[in-house]
Amino acid sequence: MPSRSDGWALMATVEVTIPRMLADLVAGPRRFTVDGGTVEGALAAVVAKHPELGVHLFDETGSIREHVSCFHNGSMVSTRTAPVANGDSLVILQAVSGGQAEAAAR
Amino acid sequence: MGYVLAIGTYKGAWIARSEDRTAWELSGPLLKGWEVNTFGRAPDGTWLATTGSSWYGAAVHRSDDLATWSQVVDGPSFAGAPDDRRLERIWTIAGAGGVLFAGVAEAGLFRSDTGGTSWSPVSGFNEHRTRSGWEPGFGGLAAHRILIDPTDHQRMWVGASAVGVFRTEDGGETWELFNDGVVPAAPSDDYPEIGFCVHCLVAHPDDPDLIWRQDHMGVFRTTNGGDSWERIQNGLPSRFGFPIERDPVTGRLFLVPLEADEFRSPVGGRFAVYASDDNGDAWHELEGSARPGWDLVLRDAMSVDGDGGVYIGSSAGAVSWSTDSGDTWSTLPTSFPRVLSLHAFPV
Repeated sequence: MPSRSDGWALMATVEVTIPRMLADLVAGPRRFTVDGGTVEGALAAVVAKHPELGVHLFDETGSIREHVSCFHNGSMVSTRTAPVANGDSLVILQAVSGGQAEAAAR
Repeated sequence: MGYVLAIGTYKGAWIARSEDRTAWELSGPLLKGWEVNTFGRAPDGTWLATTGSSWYGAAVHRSDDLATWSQVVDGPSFAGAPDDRRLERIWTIAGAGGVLFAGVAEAGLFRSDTGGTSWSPVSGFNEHRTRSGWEPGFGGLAAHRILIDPTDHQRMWVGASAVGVFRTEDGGETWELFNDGVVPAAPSDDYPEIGFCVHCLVAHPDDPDLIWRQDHMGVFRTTNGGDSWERIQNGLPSRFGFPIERDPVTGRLFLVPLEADEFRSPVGGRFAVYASDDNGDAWHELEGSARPGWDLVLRDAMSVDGDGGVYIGSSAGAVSWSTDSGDTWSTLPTSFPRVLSLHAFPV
């Protein structure tokens, strides 16, 4: 889980949309309105509401998972510590990468 | 008594229920869109399932009724591990004496003393002295099979690919490798005791030291808990395959041979389950199971129900079962996504 790095950033109210696969895990909506100062902070706020999502959005180092794409106002996020502003939109999608090669030995 | 067949696939889970194993009522998909890698039961009877995803990672889920599932928040995790290992999949769950164990990829072992609601790493396994030499097989680096001695829960075996079979005598505090007699599939220069690609293990329920092993390099048996292994392939069309199971009613062993590691399909396109009625001394094809087919059965996709029932799920989504220890077979009329795991439970 990432530490909240929002201390230096102004808090904003943003909308976060998650994939249906993740929303189904928490029997909840796909869209959340949360407060955060950065992209990472906003996602952490979503996880604070639904801790089950933590392992699916962040890896063991606390970084956003490698094959999880995050779009900020329609543009792919390049810096997870990028600040967000009131009314911003964050959309989580599974990346085009990450599809597992068919491995017979399971 | 009834039966539950939990079907884990590449795109979710289905649950089949039957009173008499003649007709099955199907529900699903559950955990829709997720790989469902295995099933289990907590000591209090709560159902367990594990999900995986190349995008979103792996998790444990619990259910009281097989219909509604809730994800465990404090699941197995390598956070804080000494290197950059990742939790990729949770491949197996086993339990005894109120304790659950989970085998995962990247190869690791976790335990739960809380019925699966929280998990902690088994450091004796995860930080084994040979860890730096562990290499993956084609299916990844995974601890995928756990056996627990029913007469002494301190004794356990873990099969890990492509490392080998480990055994503990002290409940998981310390582990040693036991693979003498087996050919290593991926020999290690640094640690000659690793490099074995075990695919599956099954033990005799009344003799925990009698264990059968489907390995990358053949089929083996030990009568001394793994101290030594002997090859038992008489009558098999090939040495390669994934699952191995045993019907406790008849003692019959089952496996599904594949042509070779370079071509992981049934020999000559003849899909068939093979069986042994003499502890593996000799094998024969179960003609009732044979059909044209190039699909295969993955290592967690064969199960027995303890009442003469045998079940297989294939990579082409066919789920078949027998109620007479493999002599005759039926197939569900519904096909599924690639079957990753199949677990039968009497209820």
